Amino acid sequence: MTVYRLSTRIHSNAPSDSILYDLCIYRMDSERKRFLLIDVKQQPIQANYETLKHSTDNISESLTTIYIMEVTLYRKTMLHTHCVTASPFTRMYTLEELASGKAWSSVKRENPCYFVTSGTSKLESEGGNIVSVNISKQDRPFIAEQYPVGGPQDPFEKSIIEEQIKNRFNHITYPNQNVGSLCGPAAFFYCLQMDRPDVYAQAAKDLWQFGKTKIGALEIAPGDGCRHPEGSFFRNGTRPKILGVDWMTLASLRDSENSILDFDTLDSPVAGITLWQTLTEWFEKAGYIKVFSNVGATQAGIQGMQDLNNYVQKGYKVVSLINDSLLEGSSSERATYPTHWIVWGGPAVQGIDRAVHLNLFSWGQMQDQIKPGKDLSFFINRFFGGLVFKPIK
Amino acid sequence: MWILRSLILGGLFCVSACSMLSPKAEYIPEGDELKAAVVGVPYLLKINILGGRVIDGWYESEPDYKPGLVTPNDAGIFLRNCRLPESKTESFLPKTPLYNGNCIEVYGTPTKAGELKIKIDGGMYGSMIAPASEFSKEYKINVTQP
Repeated sequence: MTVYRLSTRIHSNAPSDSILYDLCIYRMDSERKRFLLIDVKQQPIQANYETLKHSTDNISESLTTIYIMEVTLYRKTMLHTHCVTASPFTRMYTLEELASGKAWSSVKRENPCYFVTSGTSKLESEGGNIVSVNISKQDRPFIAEQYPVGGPQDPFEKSIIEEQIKNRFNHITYPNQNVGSLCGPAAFFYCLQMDRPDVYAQAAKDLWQFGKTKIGALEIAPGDGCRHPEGSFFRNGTRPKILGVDWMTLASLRDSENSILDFDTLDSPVAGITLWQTLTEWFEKAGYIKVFSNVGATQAGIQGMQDLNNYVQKGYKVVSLINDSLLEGSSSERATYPTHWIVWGGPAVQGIDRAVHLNLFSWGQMQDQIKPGKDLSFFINRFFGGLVFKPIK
Repeated sequence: MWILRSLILGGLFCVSACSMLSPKAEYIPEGDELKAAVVGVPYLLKINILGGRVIDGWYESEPDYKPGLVTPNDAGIFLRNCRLPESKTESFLPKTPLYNGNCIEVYGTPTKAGELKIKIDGGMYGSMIAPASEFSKEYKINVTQP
């Protein structure tokens, strides 16, 4: 058990003694229940624009646990104190960063900001006094080449992205790669969405706002091509080929990983293998702990399936490699090499008709998606084991 | 065996940027013409799309989702995705209608004679070794007077 003293920084040119802040630091569980670490109101900022160091309760938490930090700023005048942030500034940091004074960014706009002009106003009757104020605004990081900002089909329009993030936060929809060969990133983001919907939502928000994010130690910083994708986002002009939130999260993760092939177009998307080493690295950097693996290029057999059943029944995350012909509606059954990552939603079971059933996440759905009526040997031939992680909290 | 598999995987990775391995759609029924219909007589026919998982239309279909177009659109014939069999969905909760995106039902009661055009199109999911692909198929239905 440890008491931590947490702080962050703001950026401002106003006198520090005229600024107050609210600071709320929390995490959520998979059911979106909030666990508060710090919740203080209208505190004075220090002369170097650092917040005070606020003590936590005596807690037993991993230093890699990710917390959401919410900051609201106030300006104090002689007459009254008024809020100067339209909505709280949110950012995520690990407990270690918050406790070691590293919970801030060297990029000004990635911190809570409050700036005032130094010009003074005069009454018009006292003579013309024009003060010029330059307010810079960076371009939005994600702009599709064919759908400019303000256009009717802009896939990254603010309210559309907010609605998509809200649906993911509330587990109404799930990551769906659609035309992208992004099953590995989808498996990762599905697990994150289920375990830490607050972190998923903050990562998507960061990507929209800043064009990059950091989930624990996992840095996602897509290149210019990925942030300005070419090609049509819609089939027949209306049906989305991929949602904006999925492009920002799934394609960005792939693009950050792959420095050789850019992920920058929807018209001729490239396929790409996510090897288990890469997937493991993503999970571990985000704070997951790998507890077991029987994944490989060869079939894992019945014992491999039973091993994963044991883990999934104990609540572990099981991310499994299969040949996608195992799934309903999918392609040729002749090929039996690994092609697709899924996430198990429960144990694989055999019905009285000997058909195998498995609730699983794939292609934006959590359902029993195993082809109907297929027996154990059909399953085993298309099953290449999996990775098992302890869920993050 | 393991080395062989790794070589195969490596080879697949090298060619994965092209669409050679992408799913190719096939259809049942084949050909360009569906069975004829008669004005005033209920019509029902299933089209199965093979070759890969169709991207839309699976499970809880969106209320406004149509798997294709019928021309003219006022001839009494419509399109919808097939329901999954009860045996498949009995364990699902909540128990809502669940649909098969690779199967389309042409249904309705024709209201006028003439030639109808059915156009189905969409996308098929790719995989780690094969990019996604698109498909498009047109059928004709000859509608006659009784």
